[in-house]
Amino acid sequence: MSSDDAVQIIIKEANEILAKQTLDDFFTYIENKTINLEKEDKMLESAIIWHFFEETVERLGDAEFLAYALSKLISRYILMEELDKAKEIYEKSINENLDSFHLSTVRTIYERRSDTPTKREIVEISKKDVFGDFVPIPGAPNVYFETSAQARNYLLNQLPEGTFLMKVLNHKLNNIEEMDISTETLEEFEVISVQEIVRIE
Amino acid sequence: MVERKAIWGSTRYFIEIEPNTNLFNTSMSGLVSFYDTRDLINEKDCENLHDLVRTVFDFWSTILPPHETRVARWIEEYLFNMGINSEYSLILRLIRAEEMIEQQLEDIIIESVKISTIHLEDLFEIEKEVGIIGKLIKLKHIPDDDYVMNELVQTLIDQNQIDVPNEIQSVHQYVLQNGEKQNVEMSKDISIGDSIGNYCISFALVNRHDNPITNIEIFDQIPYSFNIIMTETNIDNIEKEQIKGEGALHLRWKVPDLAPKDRVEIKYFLKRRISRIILEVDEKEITVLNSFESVNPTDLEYRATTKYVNSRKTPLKAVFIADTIPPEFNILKTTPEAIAPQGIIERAKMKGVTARWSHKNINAEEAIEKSYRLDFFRYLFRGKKLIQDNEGNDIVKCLKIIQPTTREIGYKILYVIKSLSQVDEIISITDKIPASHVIAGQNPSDAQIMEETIGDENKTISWISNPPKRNEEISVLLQVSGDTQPIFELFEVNVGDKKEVEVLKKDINIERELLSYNFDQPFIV
Repeated sequence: MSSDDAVQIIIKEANEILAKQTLDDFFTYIENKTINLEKEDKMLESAIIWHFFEETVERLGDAEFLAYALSKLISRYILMEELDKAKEIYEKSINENLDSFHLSTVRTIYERRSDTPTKREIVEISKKDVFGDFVPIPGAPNVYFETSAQARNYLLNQLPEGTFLMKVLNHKLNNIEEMDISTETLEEFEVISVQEIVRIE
Repeated sequence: MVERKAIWGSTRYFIEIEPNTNLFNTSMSGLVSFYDTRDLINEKDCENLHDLVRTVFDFWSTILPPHETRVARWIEEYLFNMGINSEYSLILRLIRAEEMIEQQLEDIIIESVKISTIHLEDLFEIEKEVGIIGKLIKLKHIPDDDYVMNELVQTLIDQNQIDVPNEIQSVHQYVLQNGEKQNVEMSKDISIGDSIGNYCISFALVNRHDNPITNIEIFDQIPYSFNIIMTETNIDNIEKEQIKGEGALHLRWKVPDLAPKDRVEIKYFLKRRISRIILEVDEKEITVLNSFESVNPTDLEYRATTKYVNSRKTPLKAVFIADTIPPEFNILKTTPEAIAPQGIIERAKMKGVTARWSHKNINAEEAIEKSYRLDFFRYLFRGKKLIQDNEGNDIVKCLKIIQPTTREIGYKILYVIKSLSQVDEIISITDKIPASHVIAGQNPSDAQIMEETIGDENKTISWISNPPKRNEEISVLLQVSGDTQPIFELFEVNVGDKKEVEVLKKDINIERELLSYNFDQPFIV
């Protein structure tokens, strides 16, 4: 049986699963089959199957699976050193405004390979003060980062001991994400906390 | 120790795993970070072992063609280097088939039924106010496969954990003068007590009618997770009954009558108990028992002893025990000593401590006893007040932090005042400490601190200070000597001649936090 036949059989069987079972079953089938193809070093065949999966979930309007399919395609094309095709899928993922953990990982890998970093900028850092409240501190660095995780890592290396709340602006997606950071030297406490707002006269 | 380890077959990409627990099982959560030679690429907080190994596998498969066995070996070696003994086969299974074990468990369990446990109460020598919750899990068969069995044990432990509530269920009933019965259902908050490990429930039933009310009954359910140390009431003609219910002690207070505007006040003082899950594994069934054990002070430490007895006339294949220690405590020592695989002390990051025990082939009437020597987990009290004027403007924010040092030395109290607007008047903070405690030092030394004894039990301390400038803080640190617990109460604030008149909002919580309070440099948090 040729590789082409193998791909056609997988697509046929996948369509049957989709018709009779759930989208999760369809995904599990595709993932298992592509893993087996890739174990035999059949990356191109795997990419064809993921394209088929991408078109199907796009038609069904499932953004989560679509993000996963695009992340798979970007990574498969990077593995095959097909950076033009990886770029095409990468740009589609940006234009579709998709986001997921796996897609974010793969995008970063692509950006570093192709040297087209996404600009992420720390726009505000708040430090937990002695009251346990977050208070904005001056000194948000005028530095761009490729990933939010990288921004977090930068701050872990730069900030003094403490707990911080950081707002990161993603220039490409034009959104802000917030993340908590605690430096490694902090110790775990059981904190009994009482807060009151009182009126005086 | 956490290390950054290269993916096998790549010199460019690295993975770092930071587990939240030292115990390898399917519940193991942790942070997985991916790096290349330049920097961090991404990181993910994984919920359990399956999520963790799949995250590593997915990243690996992004960089290289997928290779389950290599990934499983890599993870096994990584955890081994951290001092965690993992199981290659389980890791491989989780990589290969995510729902396989879950599916097998669903197929094995037939049904679950409640069972009576009264006959166990004397055998286990539990306290008379506590009941045991029992459930029988009927199985098609006990899994032959060790991994599926381990997962079954873990699942049953997870499913049967008793959540410790922060409120209790209550019903107030009474009869109006016209004979009409009133029935009010409510929740009552479990609040913090006056020192570490103490909790309290305080409430009042007030007769807001114009005529007397009669046949007053207050029905409270105190979960077995809490031990009632003491109760206080404000009236004498009150009767108390208690019976053991399912999962809670049912208390019924009866008062014959109450005149208009009169009130019944009841206050419970509570401590947390050790929550224990026992799994008795028989040929085709597993009995799940939830019991509870108090922690008792002895000398300078705390102790708890738990007892289990195989009440059957036949041997059991195995018994698994998981003892969840109240979060304010840490285990100093166990008897017998917890040595893996029979005994494991699991310390989960930001959660607490669980002691797990497993025993095989338990004979009829065989007893298993465990005892724990405990001390308080590193803790602190943080009380803060936001002071507002009549227009709702924020004026000042005041803080009190109590951090124990060592038992012999006592503890430190830090007070901080931060002005949120222009304040010109003198600010004073008035607080209480036990009468036997002594202020042994203060920083700054010229801060104006006054002590006044107000009775046999407590004395007041007052810090009087000029106000700090707007958005600035001033603080004073007191070293207090005393061999009893500090008082967990909020202070009172006066600004000039203005006094506190109303609490607009109050929040209380107890949770783990990552902090670095260094009282030599008190503003590092």
